[in-house]
Amino acid sequence: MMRDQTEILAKILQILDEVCPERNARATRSAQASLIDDYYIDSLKVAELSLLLEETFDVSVFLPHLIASVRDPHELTVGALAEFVQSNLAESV
Amino acid sequence: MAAPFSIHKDEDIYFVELDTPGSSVNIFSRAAAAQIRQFIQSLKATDASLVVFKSTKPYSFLNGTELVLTASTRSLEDAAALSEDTRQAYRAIEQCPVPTVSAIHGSCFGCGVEFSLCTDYRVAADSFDTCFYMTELKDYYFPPIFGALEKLPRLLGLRAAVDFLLWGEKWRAEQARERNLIDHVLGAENFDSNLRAFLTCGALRNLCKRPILESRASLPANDATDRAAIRNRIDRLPVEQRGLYSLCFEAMLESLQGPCSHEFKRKSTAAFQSIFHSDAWRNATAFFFIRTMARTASLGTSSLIPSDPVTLRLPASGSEYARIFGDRRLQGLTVHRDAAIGRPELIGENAMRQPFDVQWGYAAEVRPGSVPLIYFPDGELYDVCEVFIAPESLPRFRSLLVLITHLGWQPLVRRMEGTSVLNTLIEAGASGLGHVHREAQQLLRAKVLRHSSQVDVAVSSLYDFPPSRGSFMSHFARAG
Repeated sequence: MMRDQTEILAKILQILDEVCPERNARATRSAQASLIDDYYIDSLKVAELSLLLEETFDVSVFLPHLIASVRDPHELTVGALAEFVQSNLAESV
Repeated sequence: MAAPFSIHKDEDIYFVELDTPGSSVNIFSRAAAAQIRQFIQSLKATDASLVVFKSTKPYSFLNGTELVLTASTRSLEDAAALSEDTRQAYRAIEQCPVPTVSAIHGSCFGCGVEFSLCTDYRVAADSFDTCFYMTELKDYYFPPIFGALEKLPRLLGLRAAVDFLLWGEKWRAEQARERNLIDHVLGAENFDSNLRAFLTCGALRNLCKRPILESRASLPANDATDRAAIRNRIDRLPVEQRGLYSLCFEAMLESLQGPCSHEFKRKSTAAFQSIFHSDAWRNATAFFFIRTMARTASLGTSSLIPSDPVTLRLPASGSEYARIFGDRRLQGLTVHRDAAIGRPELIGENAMRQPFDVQWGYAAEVRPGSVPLIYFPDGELYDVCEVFIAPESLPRFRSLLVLITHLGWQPLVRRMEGTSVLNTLIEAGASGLGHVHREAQQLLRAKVLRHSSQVDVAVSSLYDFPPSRGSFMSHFARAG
């Protein structure tokens, strides 16, 4: 099972490339990238991303919980997603 | 990323066409709001005779706003701040110096309906996928915030407005016209040319601005009986839903009397504020994502656009589903009824025939044969169907299954072995929902289904499990 933060981040970036091919050309492919402003993630893609993350990491990754937890939607970054996955992995042990 | 709207002028009509970039459905994003405001600000009354809003996205006129953003709101102030761009854009459309028309082909949901209520005229295509539906209360347990509460009772009358907004009735174009939601129905085939012919006909030459809120509301003769019946029905809703439904109903009544009073607005604000502290709203919003996850788990895509058009040959007699598939005119679906065949066929590339079976109506024993099987356990009563299919056949049938979602059923895809999952859940229900939960856990452990969201969607359909309680599987796991 993958636990390393760097490895989780790399895998998430790979999955985001698949789910959201139309990335903001000015955004870097990094933990700081915004899911909304840079990956243009919409509600359908949230569901698709949740499912792919669950299958990749073999853990429940219900992204609406992450979305509901932030005060400002701009806090929804790739890094925040990686932390969310890592925390779910830790809880599942 | 490309601009959401493309704007072009043909003679003296502006066509403003929405195609949300990177999404399989149109949503009214902040970029869309900014573009509309900028366009309308630059417009003078003499610039054109009409502004026509339409979609170039198949199957979707306008499905909503940015739900991802809405899901992160925690207070009325958050919601107001997030919705301000949309609110300003909608107001700009209402105040557009040129008369406006919504030309609707495809789903028109929630704030899509509210968008169309800002235009002076509404016309729609007579296809089954052109569907009007107020999602807010039914799906999200959230009040409509872009004018529907005030406008719908005035436009439709109280009874129809309540059916549409509170009870979540889905209307196709003809039903919408009968209830006064739209002005005219156009043939879906060659919709663009039908629209152009309609817009340029003599009758539309003298269109004028027609704001709904300036129209005079009329109260029906049986108003008191209607109100009592509606209040009774609200009292029978799950307890967590009654407050918001009552509030919305009172707001609709108030709108029939005239501008809402200061005291009413104060009470409404306090009640809406309480929604943000309720589990019901979070659960209902989460359920939208669960529904999409179930579809993605079944079809391998969240997209609502089939990759190819679909042609079916269906038996000519004795099959209710063949009649329904044929009658529900849908973009991208061609149905031939053929007396010579007994088994339905999907006509693929190079006219290659892919036979499949359909079981329409409950059968105690449902097992697949050698070809894919689609099982509708109670015809039209349940909006879920079960699809037995081998993984290697799924790509050939995927477009058909996407179209089946537009026809009104959520396909639950599973392998070509074993007995029906839906029957298992139906039979377990005789012993209570706790038993259904235990059976569902076994199905998931045995990997008969790919994801727990598929169970959630099935139970929602079979047992009317309310979205305000969220995931059935999580709800019962929490309850122990």
